[in-house]
Amino acid sequence: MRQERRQKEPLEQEGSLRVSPKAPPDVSNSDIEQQMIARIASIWERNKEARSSRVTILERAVAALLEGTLSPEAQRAAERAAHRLAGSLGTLGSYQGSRLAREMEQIFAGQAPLDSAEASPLSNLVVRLHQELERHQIFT
Amino acid sequence: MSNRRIMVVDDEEDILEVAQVSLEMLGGWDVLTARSGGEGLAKAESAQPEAILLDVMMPDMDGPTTLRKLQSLAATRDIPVILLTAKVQAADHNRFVQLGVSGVITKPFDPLELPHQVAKILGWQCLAPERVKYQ
Repeated sequence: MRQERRQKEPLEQEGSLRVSPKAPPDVSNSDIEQQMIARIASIWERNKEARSSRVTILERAVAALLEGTLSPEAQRAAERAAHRLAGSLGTLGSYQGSRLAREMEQIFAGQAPLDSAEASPLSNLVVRLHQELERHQIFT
Repeated sequence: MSNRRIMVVDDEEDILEVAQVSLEMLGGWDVLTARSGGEGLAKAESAQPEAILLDVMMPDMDGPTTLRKLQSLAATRDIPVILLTAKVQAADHNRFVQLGVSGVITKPFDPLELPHQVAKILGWQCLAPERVKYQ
């Protein structure tokens, strides 16, 4: 029988992967869901490097914007990297990471060259995204 | 009775793998994967999946272009296609439906819900029962 779920962490949205580092295992999941979540956790671990490389693209784009050297090509590459991160992070249960990446995607989608006024919010977003990737775990 | 067979086409490895695990384990279906529109077209022709879950935004050949090519081939034109997209505005949704797709699922998707969303669109049965929704 299913049991009542714990209270959600503030950063969690409606969804079902257990994502908070403070989250205890959720005993309400069926065995098949538990097995599936274990496999998704292994996907999270296995593809960490690919996600990191996308964050690096974002970090480099933000640094170039701060220096006034962001090319339209690098801006589009950053938009694409942010788009991919937004989709994959949300699917892997990092809703906060997905939201941060989506915000970055929307800014990078602006007309090139980006206004230097965007450098500060982008810099803040990429730091928070990096932190989110460090803290996110999928409990099995 | 043989399993249902569905193909997922997405260039994002995380999404491809999570969708495969979800559709196999909760849907109980056989899942083919393709990492580009071109690969998806080739596999659709040769393997004849019963449905295709197709990402919209892919490099080289995007989802709508892949869809048009699928619809132009006798071997694949009748395969139902569900688009996977981050675009959620009503105008985008209507545009996709007008392309002749069976449904649209927005990304990011919940892997515990995905097979049920697909089953509802296609009229299929899932192996796992639908989850209880908590408020």
